[in-house]
Amino acid sequence: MKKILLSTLVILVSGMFSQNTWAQLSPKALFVRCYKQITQSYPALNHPGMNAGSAQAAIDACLSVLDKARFTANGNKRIGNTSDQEALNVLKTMHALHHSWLTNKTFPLGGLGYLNETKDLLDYNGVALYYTRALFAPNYQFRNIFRGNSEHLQSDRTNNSPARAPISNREKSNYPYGNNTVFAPKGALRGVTTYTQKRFNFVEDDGDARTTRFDEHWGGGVLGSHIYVTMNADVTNNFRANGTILTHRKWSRNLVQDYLCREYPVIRYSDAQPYVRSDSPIAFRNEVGCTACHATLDPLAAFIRTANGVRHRNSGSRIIETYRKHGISQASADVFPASNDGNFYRRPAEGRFIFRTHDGQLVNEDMDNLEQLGTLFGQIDAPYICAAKRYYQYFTGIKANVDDIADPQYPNTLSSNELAHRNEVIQLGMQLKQHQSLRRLVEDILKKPQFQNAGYNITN
Amino acid sequence: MAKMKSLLLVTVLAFLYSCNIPITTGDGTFEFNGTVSETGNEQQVSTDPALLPIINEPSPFGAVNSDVGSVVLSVKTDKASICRYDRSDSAYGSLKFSLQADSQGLSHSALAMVAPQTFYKYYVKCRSMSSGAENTISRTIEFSTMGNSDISPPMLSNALPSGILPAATRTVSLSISSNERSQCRYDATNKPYVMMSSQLQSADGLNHSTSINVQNGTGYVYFVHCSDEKGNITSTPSLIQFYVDKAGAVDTAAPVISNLLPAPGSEFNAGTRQASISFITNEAATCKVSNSAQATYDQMSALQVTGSQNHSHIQAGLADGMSYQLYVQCRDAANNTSQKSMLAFSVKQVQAFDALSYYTANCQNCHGPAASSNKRNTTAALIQRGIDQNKGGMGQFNTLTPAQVEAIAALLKDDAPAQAAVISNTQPWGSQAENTASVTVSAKTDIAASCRFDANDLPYASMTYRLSADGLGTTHTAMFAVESQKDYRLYIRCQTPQGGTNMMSSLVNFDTKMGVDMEAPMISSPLPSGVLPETTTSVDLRVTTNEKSECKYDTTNKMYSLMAFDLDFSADKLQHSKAVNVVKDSDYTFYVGCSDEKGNITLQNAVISFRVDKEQDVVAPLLSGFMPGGELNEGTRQTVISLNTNEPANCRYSTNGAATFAQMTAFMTTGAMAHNSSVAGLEDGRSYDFFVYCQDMSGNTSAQGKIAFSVKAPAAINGAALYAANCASCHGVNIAQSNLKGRAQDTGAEYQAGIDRINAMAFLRGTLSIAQLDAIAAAVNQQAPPPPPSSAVANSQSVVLTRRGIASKMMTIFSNGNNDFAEQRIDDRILEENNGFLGGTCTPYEDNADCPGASEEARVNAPMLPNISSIRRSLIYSACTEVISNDTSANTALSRAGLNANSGGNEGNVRSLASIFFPGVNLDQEVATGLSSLHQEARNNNLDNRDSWKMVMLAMCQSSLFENY
Repeated sequence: MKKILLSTLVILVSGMFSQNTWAQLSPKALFVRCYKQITQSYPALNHPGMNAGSAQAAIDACLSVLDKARFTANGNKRIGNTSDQEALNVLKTMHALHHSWLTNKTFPLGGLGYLNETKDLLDYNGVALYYTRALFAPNYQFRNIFRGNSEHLQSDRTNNSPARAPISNREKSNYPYGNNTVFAPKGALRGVTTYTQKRFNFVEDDGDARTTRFDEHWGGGVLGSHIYVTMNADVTNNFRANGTILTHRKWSRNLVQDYLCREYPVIRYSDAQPYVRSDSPIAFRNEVGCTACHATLDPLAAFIRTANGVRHRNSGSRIIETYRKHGISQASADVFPASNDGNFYRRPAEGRFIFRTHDGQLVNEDMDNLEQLGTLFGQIDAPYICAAKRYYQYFTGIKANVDDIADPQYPNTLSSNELAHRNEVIQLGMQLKQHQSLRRLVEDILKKPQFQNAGYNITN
Repeated sequence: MAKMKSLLLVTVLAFLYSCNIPITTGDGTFEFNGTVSETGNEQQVSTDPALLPIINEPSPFGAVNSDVGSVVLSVKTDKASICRYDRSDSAYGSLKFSLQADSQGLSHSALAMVAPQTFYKYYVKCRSMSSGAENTISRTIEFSTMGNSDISPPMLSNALPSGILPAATRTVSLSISSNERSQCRYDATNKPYVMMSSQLQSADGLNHSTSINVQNGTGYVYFVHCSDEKGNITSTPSLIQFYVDKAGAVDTAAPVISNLLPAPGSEFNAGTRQASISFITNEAATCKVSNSAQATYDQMSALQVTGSQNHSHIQAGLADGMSYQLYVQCRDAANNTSQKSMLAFSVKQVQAFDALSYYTANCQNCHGPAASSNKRNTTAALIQRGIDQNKGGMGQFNTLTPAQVEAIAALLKDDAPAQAAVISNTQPWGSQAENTASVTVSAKTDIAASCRFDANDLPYASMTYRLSADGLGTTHTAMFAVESQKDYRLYIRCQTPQGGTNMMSSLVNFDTKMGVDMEAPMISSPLPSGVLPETTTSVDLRVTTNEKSECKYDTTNKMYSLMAFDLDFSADKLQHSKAVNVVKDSDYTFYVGCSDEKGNITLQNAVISFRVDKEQDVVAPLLSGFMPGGELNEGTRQTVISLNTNEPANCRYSTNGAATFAQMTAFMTTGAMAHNSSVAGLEDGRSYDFFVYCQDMSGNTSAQGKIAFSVKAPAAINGAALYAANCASCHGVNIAQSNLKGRAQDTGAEYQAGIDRINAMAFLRGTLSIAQLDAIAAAVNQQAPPPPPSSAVANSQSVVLTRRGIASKMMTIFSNGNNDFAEQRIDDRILEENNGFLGGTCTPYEDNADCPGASEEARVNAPMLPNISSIRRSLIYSACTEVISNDTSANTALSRAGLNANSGGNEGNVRSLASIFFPGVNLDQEVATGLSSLHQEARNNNLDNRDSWKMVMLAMCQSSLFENY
């Protein structure tokens, strides 16, 4: 009975704790808030930042911790001091944050199903590394995340050539390449490495020499990188896109979610109407309710129309899956065919990007390749606003709306508070577009009043 | 004076007996008009130096250009002379070759064949025409032919392989031939010889080859250049082009024969008894040969060397004067048979030694016509002696055989037998038209004669048919009645007026089979083939024949006459087709045989093989018949869940509605259209949802299905009464004001989790069933509707620590670095929590210590901004409770706050302790007072001072600030 009474008292007292949600945090509390968000750890009670005398000093102290993870070593690809646990914690936390933004966080298993084996050779963190590099590499221009058609990113970890498979712990003899197998790095993340060629030769059981390639690139930086296509294309072997039923729609769906923070449809019905083909044998060409999504999804997927899942193995080995390109042997044709185009997959990988921005502007561009789309991404506002929205949400817990809210079909009405946060995020995004620095974006958010008051309330 | 007489005698006799004698040497053939003096067995020659010709201006000298292959040898003499020369030195009379003298006998020349890069030395001696004096010392003509007369590149031929090679081909031999010793290189692109990357190997410099690996479905083009030993390089490359057929491709192309040797019309020397025949095919094939144009492939004889693309054979048993026609035919691995190709050649007739002609050409000038020769009735022995002793230059006839010498002697005998006529141009040869009724047999003779012929090789007198109507002449013809489709071999002999008859007959050889169709029609282009779309319901079976035919087909391979179905044919009877119905997902094989208008039937049927594709299944299975449903009887502890699908499928289930097909558990019985599994552990009063996905054999996954049922509760449970009895003391007497309010999502299971974890609730363990707890939850929730959202922003959430952050905070407060207990509890309760409740993604590429737990999916997908939930709170509180129960951990926390186990529980000390739990947060006065009171109340309850602080710490852990600050 005695214990019950005390327990009751504990509960009662614990329920008394409260905070004025509008109150400005003390410098120490502000430092702790910032520190735990960038490290997912707790500062030592004697950490210098705990003695900050002002909010500015607290944020500066926190930013100095963030900057410990800057890539100042190994050609601006690795943190300066790999023994600094604080720096490793920052890198680990922010990279995990970037990874958490992806729709697909592991390899999908719906295609050939063998990416579950492949992940021992190919680190699926490669996609998030594009953001991580942009945050920590000195002077990195945000727009370059979407540029380039040959460079691939890979984690730089404490053990970059493990003797056994990093996840399954299998030996090299289990793979088609035997002792020439090179596993994905293992251990704490220290930085980012790049490669343009990653290939393994082996001999199939019928005696034919084969090469497994993890270096196909469709252009547009991360968008067409081998790892992003592998993470999102999710097609079977001998996949031959026909422009209608068979396209790489999972990739084009996730791309818009991952890098533009938008859900389909991303155009208005009036934009989709011209793409309706009422006489098409393809059902989702017949009505605007369908083309509102497919008019963006399908021609966007056309940029990686050549992507095909292949699997490699020899006797008794694990099966490795990767993505290769079909050869181009046919002339260009409609990127949004009304009926199946049997040669679609072997036509030039041209595509179209049709999209309404947050402020209702219509982007409708036909382009020759994905690299051109990547360039376009550097020119429109959406990728910047999306990045701002992600970080803003992480540091404040507030998920700002960045949709085309002027669309007559838009179903929601935003409160004044929601509009205020939306405007904050759009402003941060436009500033990012101006200065191109993710680190500056983080700093701008940390200095916002809504980060510094107890309840993350917006004050203007 | 005697000497002078002798010289005069020689000169006169020399002019009396002058002969034109052709001389053939290894270097060429020359003619000279020389004078040989013959005085019985003696020949007198002057050696007086004054009378000897002086030989001057030997030419050529030094280096000469030999590109044209010959040089003019020349000398001059100071007096009219006849000169001879040779490559070796000997007496004038023994020098083999003559130089042609001009009209004055002062300039002498001859054409000599020469080879490049060779030193030549000729010995020349002359004989004075006036004195007959002969040089005893030779003058030499010495010269060298210049180096490179070869400015021509090698000529290349037989570039192989070519055409379409079988799909199974994995290696091929690239090969080519050159007409002179060369080195050859090849490359996949056209580039100069010196830049070509690969060398062809050659043992003899003439045949070049190398082996390469190839793959099916691929075309290959290689460029070949060769350089001869003089460095002459081919100006244009030879191409080796071929294609390795696609795997699975149907080979319907017959081999093509080319490069037949001997070339058409080739004539071998008399005496040739065997000939080498050879040819190539554009693909590997097995070839046969026959001397009959009508023989089928199967009736032919196999070649000695065949099976690849190069084929050869030694045809033995040849006879002089015979013409041969051989037919070759090839068949590839796919049983495609080529057209027949003909090889035609002949062996020359032995020319009987014609003693009279020989005598007239070579001896008549010296000895007069044979009939009046001054050597009449000489003997063979005497003639041979004259040759052996070179009498009168007769040494030149030393190639005559003894038999030929005998024949000349016989000619000169008064009783020599009459000479036979030489028969030539016998006709006809080869195939005559099928319906020929008669042929004209003909022959020619060199002298007037009469000729006969017969089907048997009989003596002239016994032969049946007259070729010349007994008339004399040199042209002989006769009509000869023949029958259709027969072979004829006729023998001809002639007789001169002097009675000379041929010892050997001459032949005519022909048949009357031309135009007879004995060949079966050839079938080509069998269609369709490959994989047809699944929508195909009817196909036209098609073949083409090379001659008018009618065709049948059947589904099994049988003789034409036994086949069940007719193919329709076009007007020209070359195209044949028939529509047949087909169904999807089926393989078809049809055999086609044809018969031409002569009734020749294909021995090997054509095969039409194809597949109609399987329909692409893109329709997911439909689920139905979910069992059980509704409410099961009270006390049911296990049941069988089941459902049906409209097609064979694999079904799985899970109690988690968010689980994917891959994450679910397979039904015990599945794979067909009925699926079931037994589930146990059911409890009274519980509801159960089993979510189901089914995947068909094409990988289409169904929409989610649900098997929902409940087990009847044993009796109505009064949740409010249970609350009052078990919960009210802690959570509020008035259930409507219970501090459990606001947990509208709570269930009995969650209450049970709390009872299991929280020591303060241990007294309830094992006393309440889940159903009873559900009833309590229902009663609380019924009484306590959820409060309205406090946030003005719909999409906002608290920013709280993730798994790693919470562990770090607890370590900061409770662990002194040497406290294994605190660390172990924090690890156990916080870090190893792997279901995502605490948030904080990590990947398996990190070290295990950083990313523990077994569920990769949960870890990778854990949010970085986790939602606050009662489970999350329970986990944290449970960890706090365990850690704080340890005195060392509690002492560490007090120490960090500048306190110890004996420090009083006043507000100041409470705020000190709070500063390590919530750094930078100024506690409200009410809270500080409450905590201090808690400490005091604990003391009042006889807890010692440290345990009282533990109560304060628990309250801090339990507070909402703990996660936020």
